[in-house]
Amino acid sequence: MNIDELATVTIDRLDEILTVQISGEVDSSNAPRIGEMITSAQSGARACIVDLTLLTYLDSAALTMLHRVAQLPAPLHLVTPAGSRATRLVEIGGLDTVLTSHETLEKAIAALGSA
Amino acid sequence: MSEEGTIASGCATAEITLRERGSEWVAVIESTLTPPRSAVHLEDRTPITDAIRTGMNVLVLSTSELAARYPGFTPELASKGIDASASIPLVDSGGCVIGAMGFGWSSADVFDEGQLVVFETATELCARALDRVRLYELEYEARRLAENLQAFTMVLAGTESRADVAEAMVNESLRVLGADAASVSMLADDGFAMLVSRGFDDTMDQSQSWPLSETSPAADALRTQSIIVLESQDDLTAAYPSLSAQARLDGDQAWVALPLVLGGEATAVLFATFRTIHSFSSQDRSLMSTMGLQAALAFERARLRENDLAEADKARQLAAAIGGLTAAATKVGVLAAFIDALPALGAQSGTLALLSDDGSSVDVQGGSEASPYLDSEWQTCSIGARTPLITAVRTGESLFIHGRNELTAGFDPSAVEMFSDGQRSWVAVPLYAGGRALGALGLSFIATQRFDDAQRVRLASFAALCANALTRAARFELEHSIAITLQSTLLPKQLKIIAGVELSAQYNPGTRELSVGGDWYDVIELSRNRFLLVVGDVVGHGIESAAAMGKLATATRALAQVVSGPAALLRQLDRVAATDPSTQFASMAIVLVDREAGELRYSLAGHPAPLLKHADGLIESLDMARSIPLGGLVVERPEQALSFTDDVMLLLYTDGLTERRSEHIDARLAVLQTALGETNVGVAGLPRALIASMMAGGEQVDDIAVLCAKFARAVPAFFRIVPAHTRHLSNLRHELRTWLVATGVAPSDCYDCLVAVSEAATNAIEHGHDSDSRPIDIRADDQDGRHRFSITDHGAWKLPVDSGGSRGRGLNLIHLLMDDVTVNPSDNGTNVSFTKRFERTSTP
Repeated sequence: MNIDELATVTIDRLDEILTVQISGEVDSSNAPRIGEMITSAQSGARACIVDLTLLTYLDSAALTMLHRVAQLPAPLHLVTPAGSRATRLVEIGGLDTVLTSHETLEKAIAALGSA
Repeated sequence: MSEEGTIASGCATAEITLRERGSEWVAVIESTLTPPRSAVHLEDRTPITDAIRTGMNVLVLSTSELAARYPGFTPELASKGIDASASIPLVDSGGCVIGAMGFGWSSADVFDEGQLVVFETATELCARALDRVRLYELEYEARRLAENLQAFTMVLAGTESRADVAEAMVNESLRVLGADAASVSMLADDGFAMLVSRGFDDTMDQSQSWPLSETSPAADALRTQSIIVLESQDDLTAAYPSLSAQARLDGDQAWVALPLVLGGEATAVLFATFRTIHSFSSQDRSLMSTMGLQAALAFERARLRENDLAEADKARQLAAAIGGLTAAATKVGVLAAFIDALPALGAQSGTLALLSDDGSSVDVQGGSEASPYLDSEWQTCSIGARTPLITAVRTGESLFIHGRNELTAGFDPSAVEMFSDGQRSWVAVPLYAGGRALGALGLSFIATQRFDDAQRVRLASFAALCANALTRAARFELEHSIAITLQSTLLPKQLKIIAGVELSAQYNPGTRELSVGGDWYDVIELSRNRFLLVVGDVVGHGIESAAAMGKLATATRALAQVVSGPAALLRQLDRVAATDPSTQFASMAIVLVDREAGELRYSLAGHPAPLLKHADGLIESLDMARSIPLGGLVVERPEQALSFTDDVMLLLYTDGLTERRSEHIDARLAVLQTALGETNVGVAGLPRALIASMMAGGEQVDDIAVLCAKFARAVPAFFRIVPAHTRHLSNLRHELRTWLVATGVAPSDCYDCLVAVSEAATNAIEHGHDSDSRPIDIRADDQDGRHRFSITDHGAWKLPVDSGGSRGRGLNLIHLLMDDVTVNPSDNGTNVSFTKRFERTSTP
């Protein structure tokens, strides 16, 4: 669904695994809303995967939002393709030290399925 | 010749017999007999020859008497019945027996004394007639000689050189004397040398020469100064037995060797050969000697003329060398003029040596190829050395060394060795100016010299001129070096560094003496992205011009800051030039570059048009706003503007770059445009490359200034006022990204800046009170290769209290991504600024 003209968020649930794909830009204008959407969707989920592959912009507002989501009960996994801007910013913000990152959504699902 | 024979009547036959001129033979020239009798020798015993020899009548009246008196002489007529004859001598008016008339009849006929009288009368009449004929012949011959001599005189009058005279003599001897071959040789040194020859065997060398002592008609004629005539092979064999065999082989029958003698001296000899036996009459001989005298006169006249020409040539050479000395502004120039003068001074080699500054040694500066001093151990030696050159410097006296004996006697034996055997005489002349010794000139001669007064005076005057020229050259060289120093101090040592502009310049002083000073270039920065490019050329060369250029350059710099635009600047400089004559008529090209406006404005004051090379390679000549050079005249200075966006290259230069005397200026401008179009050298190397390209195949005479600038339209600074709401952030990032790319940042490198600015803006929005959402200022610019960003809000700065909060994280990000981050809170608001240096993908 379109959050605003900046970003589109697609949420799916598969075997109690919540998958969130965000495309477009995430900044302080829309990060709180996206955070709220994920928070309300993840109740009862065994894990939550946020796929940042399609983001064209993210800044500290997005990182703050992800920090908040990471404090929810469902363990948060990120999809950050190597060398992408998202990966770099996640590393700068230190999120990679507390969260598990995967190269692709498929790999993330596979990893969680076998767990 | 027509003979008026008078045949007397009263006899059966009659004949006239005449002595051949100058010979012992008599021949029948007219006879009623058919065929006439053949010639007989004067010594033969016949009635006719008796009559001629004795001058008496010889009467033979019968066959028996004939047989008795002239045994062995049987006239064929006797068989025809004519057996009586009377032979009567022909005596000319001078009493000489020139021949005889013979009358014959049959002894059967009656003969009496009366008939004899008739014969004698007829003979006398005949003699008178022959006298007339002889006189006529003599007159004819004399006229022919006169005509030939006249023709010869005319031909000689047209001759200029001795070779011409010789040519004329050869041709005339073939024509007038009827010779089959002829040559003229000239007395030279110890022999005589062929000048011209014609008709001889082709193998005969035209430049052959022979010793005067040889045995030959020509050598004898020269030695004895008299004409040698050989009329037959016998004559030749008698006089020159050694030549006889060859003469027989050649088939020649007669020879003449005619010396050209004048004032008791033989100068040349004409040698002619004839294929038939010749008897040369006294007229022939007098003709030849007259020809010889005339030719000798012409020959001497030609010799004097050749001498005059040679002297005139020497005088011209000397004048040219003196002209060279006068024009010489360097030691090298003086040396060159000296070497040019050597032929005029009669010398084969020359050396110029100069006293060292401290006066302790003498150094050879140079010389002609055969200079003995060059490359010898004496090239540099102490003032005490005993060589002719150094002795002349030391004593101040000219040394005239006539021969090797004097050389050996007067100088260091090891110095004497350097003078080759081919040289016979030497001179060393000191060079003094203002009573001060400068050095000396050394000259060598391959011929022994007498060193007469004229030659000594000539050498001394020349040395005095050399000394003057050297003194002047020293002054010129000093002035030249001062001018170069002055010029280099006046030109910008290093071009100003202007962000976004590649600049490069080159100044080359001219190679010609004193052609330094006057050309300059300058770059004057007016404000950010606005600067002036200036190239100028002051009239003249040397210290004065360098100083004038300094004044103009300074005035231009000062005035550029207070007037706007090239035309206004030129008008102000006109006023400067009006009060300072040294700057008058200076030419200038001024281009104002406004990178932000993307505009060039230029004005030319009598200066070559700058060239503008566009990004696509097209070259445009900035030749619209042209006017006269700076000066007192009040003129409107036009100004032309043109716009640009992409990379452009601007080339300003002085006319030294394009001037070449032998080529049309338009052709040279075309060459320059081609060179600029084809060169792939960067801006830094372009001025040198263009100068090298333009000077290829020629000498750089004038000085040259070249200034190159490469730039593009500058991107204006980024400035946005954004309402304090996060929904405007995306748009802000978009616009900033576009600006960054325009300043040359690669799109992939923009991201960090977008994050940092967005973070700072987010902070600013959040700092502001919700109630008073005053807008935020976002500024960015690109200067000196660094991007600067500044974000200002108007609220109170909230310190990051919550380290996990977005605000603290945002500031952290800014610190991580950007350089020189500063946060300046104030009562009115907070300013966050930072910078970033990018590797540019393209120069803006």
